[in-house]
Amino acid sequence: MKRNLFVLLSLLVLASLVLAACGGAPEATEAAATEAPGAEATEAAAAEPKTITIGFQQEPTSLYPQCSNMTFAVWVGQMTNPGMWTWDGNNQPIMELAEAMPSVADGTISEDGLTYTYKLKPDLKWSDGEPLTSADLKFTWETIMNDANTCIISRLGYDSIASIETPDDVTAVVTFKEFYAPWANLFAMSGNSGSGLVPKHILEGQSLDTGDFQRKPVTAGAYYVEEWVQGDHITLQANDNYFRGRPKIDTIFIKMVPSREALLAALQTGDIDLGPDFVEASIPDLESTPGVSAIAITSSSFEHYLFNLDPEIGFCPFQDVRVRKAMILGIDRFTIADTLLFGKTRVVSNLWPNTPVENTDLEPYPFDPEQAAALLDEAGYTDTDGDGIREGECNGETVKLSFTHQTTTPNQLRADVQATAAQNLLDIGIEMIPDNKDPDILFAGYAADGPLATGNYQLGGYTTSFIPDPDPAGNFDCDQIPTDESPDGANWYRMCFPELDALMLEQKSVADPVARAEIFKEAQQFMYDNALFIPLYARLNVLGVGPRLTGLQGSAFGDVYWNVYDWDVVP
Amino acid sequence: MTNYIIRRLVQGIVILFIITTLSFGLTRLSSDPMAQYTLGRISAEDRARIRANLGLDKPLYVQYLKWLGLALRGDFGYSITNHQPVSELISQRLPQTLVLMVTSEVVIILFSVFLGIYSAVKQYSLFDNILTGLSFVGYSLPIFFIALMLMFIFAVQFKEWGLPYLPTGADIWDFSDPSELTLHLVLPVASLALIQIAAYTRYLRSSMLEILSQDYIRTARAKGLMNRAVIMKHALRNAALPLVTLIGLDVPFLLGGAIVTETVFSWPGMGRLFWQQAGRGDFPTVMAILLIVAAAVVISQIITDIVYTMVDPRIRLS
Repeated sequence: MKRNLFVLLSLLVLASLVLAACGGAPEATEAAATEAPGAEATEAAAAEPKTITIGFQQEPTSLYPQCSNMTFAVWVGQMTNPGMWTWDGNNQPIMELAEAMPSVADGTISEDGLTYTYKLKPDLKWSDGEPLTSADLKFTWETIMNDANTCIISRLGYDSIASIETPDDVTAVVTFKEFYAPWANLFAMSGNSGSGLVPKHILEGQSLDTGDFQRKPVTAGAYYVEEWVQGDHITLQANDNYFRGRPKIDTIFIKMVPSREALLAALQTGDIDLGPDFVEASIPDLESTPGVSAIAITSSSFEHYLFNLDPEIGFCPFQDVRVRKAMILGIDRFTIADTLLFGKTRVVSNLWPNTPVENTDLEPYPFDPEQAAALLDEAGYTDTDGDGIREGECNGETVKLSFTHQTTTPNQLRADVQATAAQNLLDIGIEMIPDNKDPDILFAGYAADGPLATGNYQLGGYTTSFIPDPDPAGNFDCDQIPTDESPDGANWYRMCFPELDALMLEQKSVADPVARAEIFKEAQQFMYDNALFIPLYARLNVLGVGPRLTGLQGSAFGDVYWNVYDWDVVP
Repeated sequence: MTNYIIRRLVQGIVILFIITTLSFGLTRLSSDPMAQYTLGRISAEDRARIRANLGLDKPLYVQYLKWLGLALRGDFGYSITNHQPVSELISQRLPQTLVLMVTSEVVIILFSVFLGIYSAVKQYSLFDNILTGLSFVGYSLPIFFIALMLMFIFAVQFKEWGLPYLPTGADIWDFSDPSELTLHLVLPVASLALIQIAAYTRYLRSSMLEILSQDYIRTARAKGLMNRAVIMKHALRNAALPLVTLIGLDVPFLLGGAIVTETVFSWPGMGRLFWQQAGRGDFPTVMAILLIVAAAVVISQIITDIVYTMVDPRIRLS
């Protein structure tokens, strides 16, 4: 039946196109003209529902964030599926379903740091009107741990939970098997990861894989998913049962607009009100487009160049701290931030920028080619053969300060930064040769011979972040250097410093956030003193915003979606 | 004839088998389906669990045989990224793609036949010269450029200038509303058609010129037939032969969609699905689309051969 309809429809379209072709342009323009007054009428009538459209360049694979690794899925989750808490415009925790965050002070975290008492707000409801209780929190844990739900991607942290007790409807007592420092990441949504709760009354006895929960979840957020026309759009409707009350905007459409150029055009025509996931290089385009403004959120993601610190397979001169420090001093990161990033971000000194554990006492190394040259001289690297590149002794062999640099391609900003850095380094007698790779190749795993994972690189370059919990997930641990025996190791720097290793171990065992932050600050000092990486700049989350949408407040931890309930449209 | 068709079908099945083997190997070796899972923080246990769930822990030939066994029964399996049947993903996109591509193909044929004949009949006229110039321009422009320019002029600038404008495709609209559909088809169809019309007009013009100088055309004219009848009935039938070949080659790709045009105009079609899922390492979906297009190529080639015999009685199949 449906097929017949489409045949009929196609014939209709063909007929109308033939007519349009015969009649020339007027046919089409007439139809467009009838559209335009309709749009004006919508604006005039005050009683009309408020709607906005967000343009997503990538379609989420699932609308339940635990079943998707995509930030686009997380953003839908932020608008629809709250957890216990999220992070606000100042990167501070803000309570969602929870009454308060467990703390050592009021005894809701036990002395040994293994038992956490979660208190829910009273009278919470799902979007379908059913009550939301602590049983749903327990069920969420069970859902994530249930082998029948094959779509679940990461159980990290949830697999450290031993049991969850629910003495009453608003209390859940979570007991861990071992201390899990990033516990605040669990049952919580941030702008780049997380899990809201799932409803027991809908999903009990049902697999996430088979039902339509992943495409039409019942949730407890400001909005609920009314419809997902895959490939085209998602319709979110205001939730009357939302605990903060019904949000101001009635309907949010999420339209899949895969082309960044088309998204920019649609922002200009007003088809789209908000376009996330632009890149830093888009800022001038956005700002020069009439009616469109750019939001550039200074994120906690950092662009950095990493030395392969492996004494066996790394570039030998990188073992010398003076060479590493000279390279930081020799690259003009300040000009890069001012020109290539339009002065919208800052040069960073550490790998936890714009987070509560950032060691703000650490000033970025200045741009000082003279000091850099002096350090290289001191380390024994001088240009003896007059070719402009320094040579020196390393491990008993003469080594030229010439190495390859691998970052991702195609990426205009990275290429420009790389060219600037290469020129700066050449000025102090260091040759850095670009050897860029497709991201799929650069980030391929150990088994797939990825250059970073296997240590088959000299200097690398990419972006990452350690949020909302500062735990770097083994990135600097000695036992995380990837080998044939442990190919999944996270330490692509291939560094092993017992002092740093001890600090990283210690932070995993401290429950008090203040004491834990001190450990991170100490670790940053160590990394800074030993010049273990070349930190460049904090990345920007760039969004294009049309003239109608107001109330957006972006942050590194919460992106812009954390306060979707406060968004409004100007008449 | 029947024997011929059966023989071609058997050949087709062998070809399809070879194609699936090659493309399964290439798809699996060129991208790592686990890559999309390893971008975030994920433990070794989770990685092992996901690999096992997706069947990636089995040897490649076992994975292929498993896929083939299901595919032979018409089951394309589950998308490894979307956790839903591949057939569901494809059936959502197929109607949209068909409407876009079939409309374009019809527009292409109508325009190129008309323009091809006209410029052959009026060879070296001003019209012919302009058309020749334009087709070279059209044929050498990349489609993303044409598509974005059309959008910029007719959607963005026309709206700015207060003129009646066309949609960018990034608006929310109803596919089942014929007037909205027509409006949204104009720019994507124009982008797809411009380049093809430019090419096909050249083919038709040259084969038409060749035919028009044949003796039987002069005979037809000498009989006193009207010019119109000579061109439409006698010349076009023969001149259209190369066009049938070209259209035959086009038809299977109507199913595959148009990656660039669909991307620029936010058209939810098969081309985008293929591109997106290939990027995500979703080999079941990629394989299903490849198989559908490959099967369509094989079938449409057989049909083209049969149509040949109808258009040109001199051709006999054996």
